[in-house]
Amino acid sequence: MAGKIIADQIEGTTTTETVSGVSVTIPNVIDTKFVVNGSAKAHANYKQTSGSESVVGSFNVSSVTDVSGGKFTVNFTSAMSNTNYAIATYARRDNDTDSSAHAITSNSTDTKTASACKFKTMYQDNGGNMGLADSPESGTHFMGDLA
Amino acid sequence: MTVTPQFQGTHLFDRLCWAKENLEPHQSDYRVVYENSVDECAKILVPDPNWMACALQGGILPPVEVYHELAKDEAQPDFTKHTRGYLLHETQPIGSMTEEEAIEYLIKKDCPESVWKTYNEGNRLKMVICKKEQLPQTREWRNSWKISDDLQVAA
Repeated sequence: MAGKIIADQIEGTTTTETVSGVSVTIPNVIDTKFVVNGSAKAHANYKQTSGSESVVGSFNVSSVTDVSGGKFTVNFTSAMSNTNYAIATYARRDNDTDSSAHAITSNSTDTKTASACKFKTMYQDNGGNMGLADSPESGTHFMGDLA
Repeated sequence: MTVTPQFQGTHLFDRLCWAKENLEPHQSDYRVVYENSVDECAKILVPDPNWMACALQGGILPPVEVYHELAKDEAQPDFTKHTRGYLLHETQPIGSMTEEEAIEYLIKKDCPESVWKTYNEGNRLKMVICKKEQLPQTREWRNSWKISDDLQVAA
């Protein structure tokens, strides 16, 4: 196993800047707990396209459930502490022939537990029509506390 | 061959960090098809390749019963946060599994209990393990996918 670094703080080289003619020392120290607590605790890059549905990149994910067209659930290996975690998402379009936009969202009734979270990928075309769509790359990142 | 460190007492997240660094992801060809509502189409459980690497390696994942205990806690009406997360980290990790055993574990972890406990009871199958090649190769009618009535329960 690789070596271990135990540290309460990370400190870089202190820098000094002049702001409005006044010399200001820029703090360059951060507690490691802020780094650990602020990092994503899980992520998944899910490919939801014909015949090749798969998880192509991930961390702390045991499986992805393909729920239906445009809908999927990410299941965690190491559960979150509660359901108050934050999520960042993106979805890649499946073509560039129209000007549709994709976004990942959830219904108010969709599962969001400490161990799983359900999403739906929405598209909107240039005529304003909206619907569900399978994306070749659905990215989800989860920030919060672990159980 | 990579040897798993003695991980009992190590936070599961740290074990996963070790696995990510030291194990090759394994893309399984297995898929689990299940239905948990007559009004909805079949769902497909897709195993995660990093998780599968942990399962095949052994000594990393907790027994699946730990997840069931946490699920019980979360089902309580007054649940606000997990207070027994230590079960994930303190319980002796299980040994290496075959890919088939790993799929069984995953079913018990990520499929609804109401499905896997009674998958072969009732008028028709509620769950099937298959290879990904056996799934429809187009998603055009994805929202109407159902487990075939022609499938029989194995004796």
